[in-house]
Amino acid sequence: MSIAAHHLKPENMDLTVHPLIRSFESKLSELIGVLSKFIVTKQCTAVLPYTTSDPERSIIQKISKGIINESSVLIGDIQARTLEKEFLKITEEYFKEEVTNER
Amino acid sequence: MKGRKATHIPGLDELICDGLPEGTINLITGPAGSAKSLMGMHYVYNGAKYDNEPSIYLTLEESRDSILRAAKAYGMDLEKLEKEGKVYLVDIGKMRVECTASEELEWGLASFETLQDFLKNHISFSHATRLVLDSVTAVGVYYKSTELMRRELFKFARFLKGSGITSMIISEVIGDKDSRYGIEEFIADSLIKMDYESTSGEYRRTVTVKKMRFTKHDPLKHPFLIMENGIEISPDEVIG
Repeated sequence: MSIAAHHLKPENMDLTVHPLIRSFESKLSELIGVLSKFIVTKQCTAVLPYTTSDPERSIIQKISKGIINESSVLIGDIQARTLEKEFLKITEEYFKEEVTNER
Repeated sequence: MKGRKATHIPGLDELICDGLPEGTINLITGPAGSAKSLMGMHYVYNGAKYDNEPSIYLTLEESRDSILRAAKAYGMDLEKLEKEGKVYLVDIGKMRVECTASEELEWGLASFETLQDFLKNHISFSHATRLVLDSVTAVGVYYKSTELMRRELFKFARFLKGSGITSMIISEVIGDKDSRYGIEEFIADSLIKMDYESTSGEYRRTVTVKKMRFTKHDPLKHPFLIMENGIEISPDEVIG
């Protein structure tokens, strides 16, 4: 985690620009269009007090879960489960890449 | 000539030559409590169950639980069909109640533009051929003038027709009007008015197919009852 990230105040942070969150939004957008932006922004805002601009895996999982829950009323449970698997895959790949880069 | 989408509502298909013409927009209007939503539930449920057609019920006001409960009361297990991937009960109303009025307006959660964008994607993955929008009344709050709403509604209607889906759009009216905003009937291919009236002390529910393009139809006012399995129209009986 960078020093700059630690010093960012929650109210100034925009987690929606995080590459992983952008991937989530992009996937969801394929299913529900612009409403995806609303859902993602809402979930990111909800975790702001507990994170930095470089969120830990648990925070990402919390956002991911929130997005799935919110969108299931729009896309149905079957599609929501498929989306959940895709989010999990994207998350795994992201953190695997991050560990590789750190080494 | 395109095909028909049977509603499988007892009595209704007889009035409209076996069903709604495919790819059309059908306006269902009437005052509160006139069974408009119930008609929409029948259309979605019957299409999925009897014709194996994926169908979307998009609710903007009534909650998902309330729709499921109402449908179940008349023997329609929408949840079961949802699990089978045949029915999609979309609750945009839930998103609306979870944000403030200003947030809702800012995001345009249920504006025609957002609904179009949503449906474009949803129809693509669900392969739905039937849609119920319940109701257009809720969309009016996003537009400052009737002119603006008319323009956006016109674009929305063009989109629906282009998508090939056969839709029922529900509009709640006050008094004797045919639609809430006085513009919905112009974009719709058909207008089915549901009502209730009291004649000689007897309270009766009525349905009238006031307009229907691309097909012959019975334009007379017919009584209907809400029975154990929902709406039952009497096509042989005429009121007035």
